[in-house]
Amino acid sequence: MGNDGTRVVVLGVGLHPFGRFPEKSMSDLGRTAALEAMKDAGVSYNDIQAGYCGRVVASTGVGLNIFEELGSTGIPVTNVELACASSSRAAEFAATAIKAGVHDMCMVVGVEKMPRGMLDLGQSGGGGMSFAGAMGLALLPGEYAMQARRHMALHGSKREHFAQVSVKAHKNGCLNPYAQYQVPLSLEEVMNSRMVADPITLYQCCPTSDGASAVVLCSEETARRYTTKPVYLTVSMGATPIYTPGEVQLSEGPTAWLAQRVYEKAGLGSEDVDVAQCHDAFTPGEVLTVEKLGFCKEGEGGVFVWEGNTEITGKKPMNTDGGLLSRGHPMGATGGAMITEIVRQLRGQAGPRQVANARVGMIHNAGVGGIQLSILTT
Amino acid sequence: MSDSGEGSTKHMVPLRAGIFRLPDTPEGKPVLLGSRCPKCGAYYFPKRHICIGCGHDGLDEAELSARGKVWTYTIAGQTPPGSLVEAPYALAVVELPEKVAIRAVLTDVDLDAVRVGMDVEITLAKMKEDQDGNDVVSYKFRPV
Repeated sequence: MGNDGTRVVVLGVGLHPFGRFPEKSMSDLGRTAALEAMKDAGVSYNDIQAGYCGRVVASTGVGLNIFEELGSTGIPVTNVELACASSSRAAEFAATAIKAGVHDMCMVVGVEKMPRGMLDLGQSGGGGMSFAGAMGLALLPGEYAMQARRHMALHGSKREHFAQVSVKAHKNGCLNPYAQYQVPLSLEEVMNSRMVADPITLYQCCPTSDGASAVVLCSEETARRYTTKPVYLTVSMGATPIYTPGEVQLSEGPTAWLAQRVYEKAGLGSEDVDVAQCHDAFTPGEVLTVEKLGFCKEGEGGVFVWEGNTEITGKKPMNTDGGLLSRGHPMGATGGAMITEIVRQLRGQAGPRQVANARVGMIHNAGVGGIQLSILTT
Repeated sequence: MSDSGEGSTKHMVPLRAGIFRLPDTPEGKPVLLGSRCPKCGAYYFPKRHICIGCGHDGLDEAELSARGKVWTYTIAGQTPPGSLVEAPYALAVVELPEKVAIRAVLTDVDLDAVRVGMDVEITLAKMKEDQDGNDVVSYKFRPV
């Protein structure tokens, strides 16, 4: 979705708190978030012309069940899956449909209920054991850990640089009533927690979570009927890794390359970003992403974070709602939660988490094998 | 079983066929099997059909080098689901001279001594025994 045609407004946002809710169904979670987003937008379900549902492990039809609980108005409903970036990608699809004039108002619901413990990347279809899993290679925190270790070897970043990401995330999470963990963690507590994949300790891993997010999107013209202070989804674009001959790489996608394209489409630069959300599933996520989004030079991400530049009061506030690490990461819901926080920041509704004079927000959401970057503006 | 009893021979069985060539003896080295593009010469592991570099469809099977360097690594402190290798262990991305990246567990190594740039070579690794008592084998890398 580029910056042409009608502009798309994020008219309403809503969440079901993230955490563990064994007594609730996925429809319960999704319905709660959707009702909050529609209330925030000032619209009713009859105004929604298309529905999109971001989800990963949830079964076929989960989106249709959630939307069916809200009403039975005949609208098309589509499930979208891009691992942890599912609802970010779903928002791009919704925005593209609005830009194309196919629909005037759409709602994206993201939802997930996850079991406790490390994600099973080694599983394969048919109940067999996958080769990578059996070989000990299917270690998801290990992918981030190996990027961190490479960064440490090339650029001299230190363990505490990564750990500080989690300290900051939990500090912010304490200010977010929707966060899964609203408990501060000291640097010592983070660094001394159980080692999962060196240098990543347990408290540098996001939790598995239950939760839901919802986002109502509409055309600029329609938004005028509801608000005088719209927040625009100015650009949202995705990518998959780009092959470079003779180069070993581990990244989930060409973030730096896509960031340039997104900035260009928005007519903005990295210096214009006032607040950002990035995919801190594991702490190296933030250290690596601040470099790729152009917030600091390559190799300086660890120091940049360590010096407090990504704090709410820093130069580039990042993951002001606690991020995946503290807010939680119900995979399908995460993209919508990132949009929700940026919208609240740009509206000046973030309360104790508010970044002063935030007018441009950026989102980096990574799925296994794909990324999505978005810019929101006032 | 007609061939049971003393004198029965234990066999080596690959954990997954087609990924590496078994050595003739348990002391030998396995050989990784990747792909090579006959048009532009690029190598890949695991095998693929189409060259990402030049788009050529129809790559040849290629034996890959036994030695490489640790490009990056981590020390796994937790055993991932389904793994036959138990934590703690060193997991590495090994860069071979063919410019392919191999994810592999390192063995016969001091976990505190693993470094980016370390020279390593492939080695045969027993992963488990099957129900007939055969060794199910695969590969790991070890310091040279």
